Amino acid sequence: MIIKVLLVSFFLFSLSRAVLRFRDGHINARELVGICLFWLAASVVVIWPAVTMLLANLLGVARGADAILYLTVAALCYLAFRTYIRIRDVEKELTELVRRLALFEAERSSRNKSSERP
Amino acid sequence: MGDSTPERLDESVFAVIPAHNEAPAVREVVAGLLAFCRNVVVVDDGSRDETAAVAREAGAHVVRHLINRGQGAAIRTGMDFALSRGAKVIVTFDADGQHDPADLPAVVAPLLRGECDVVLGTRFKDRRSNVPPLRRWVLRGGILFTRLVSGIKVTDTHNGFRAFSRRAAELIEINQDRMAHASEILDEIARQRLRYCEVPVRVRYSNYSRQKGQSSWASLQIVWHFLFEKLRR
Repeated sequence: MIIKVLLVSFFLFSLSRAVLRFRDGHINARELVGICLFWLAASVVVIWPAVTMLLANLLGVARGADAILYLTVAALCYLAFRTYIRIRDVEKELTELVRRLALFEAERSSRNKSSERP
Repeated sequence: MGDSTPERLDESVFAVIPAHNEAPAVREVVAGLLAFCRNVVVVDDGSRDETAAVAREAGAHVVRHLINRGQGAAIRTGMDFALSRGAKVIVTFDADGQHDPADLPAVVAPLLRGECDVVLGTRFKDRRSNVPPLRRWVLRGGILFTRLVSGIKVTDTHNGFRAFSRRAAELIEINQDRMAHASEILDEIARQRLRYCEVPVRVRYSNYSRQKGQSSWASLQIVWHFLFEKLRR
């Protein structure tokens, strides 16, 4: 089962990165706990795939792996849309900043020019 | 224009030129416009070449975006600058030399006579413009799209040569930073119930302007940006 080894080592790697980021102060304790729970749960699912049947039965899907796949695709699509809108908003703010700065600079340089004149 | 030295328009007329990496063309455009109006504003939209220096040397007011934010944003900055300087008429003009400064008096004339609030240049009302066949079809798509979505009937929806009265420039909101601002301006004209008219202008398709301009594929992206923004309103 090479896939299990690969996935679980990747999850542990991600977990270690989260711990490092917690030490640097980039994430707080609550975020660290959340991230750890997520990767631990993912490891459990990879090591004992049978547990996903609980979820599959609950949702009325035949196979556990399918249930996970459907939920993941839905979550990723949601995140993609949210990120898209977030980027649009940040771009708008950036534009506003650049525009204001441009007008401010133009105003300042013309004021300097007019004060140079006798 | 029969005169060799045309009479310059009143100083309350401002020409706004959005420019991104247009150093090779902008000098001639500024000089051409200065023959017809006293105030030319070049908005250097984060160029990496000498656009700003060349424009300033040619006699334009220069306003600089530190980073590139797109033609819609640059036009808005240029309009704000002109309004702050007391502009009564604001003309937008492309930096790549596709428009003819000699058309300027005819474009602002309906505004000066108080006949309308916005004048839109059109390349399709006379036969002076050498529009390539593919571009002609894409622009026809734009005309149909605008008629359906904004309910405004014009013969050329994506012409950068326009003129606005002060009131129109204050009312029209340009939220589209990039190329979809052209559709947005038409949409705003309809929404604000501004009086508009079309004046024939010449569009020169040079190798330079075709290379610098939008590819016909970009029209799909423009439609997407415009509709997305319209839905968010």
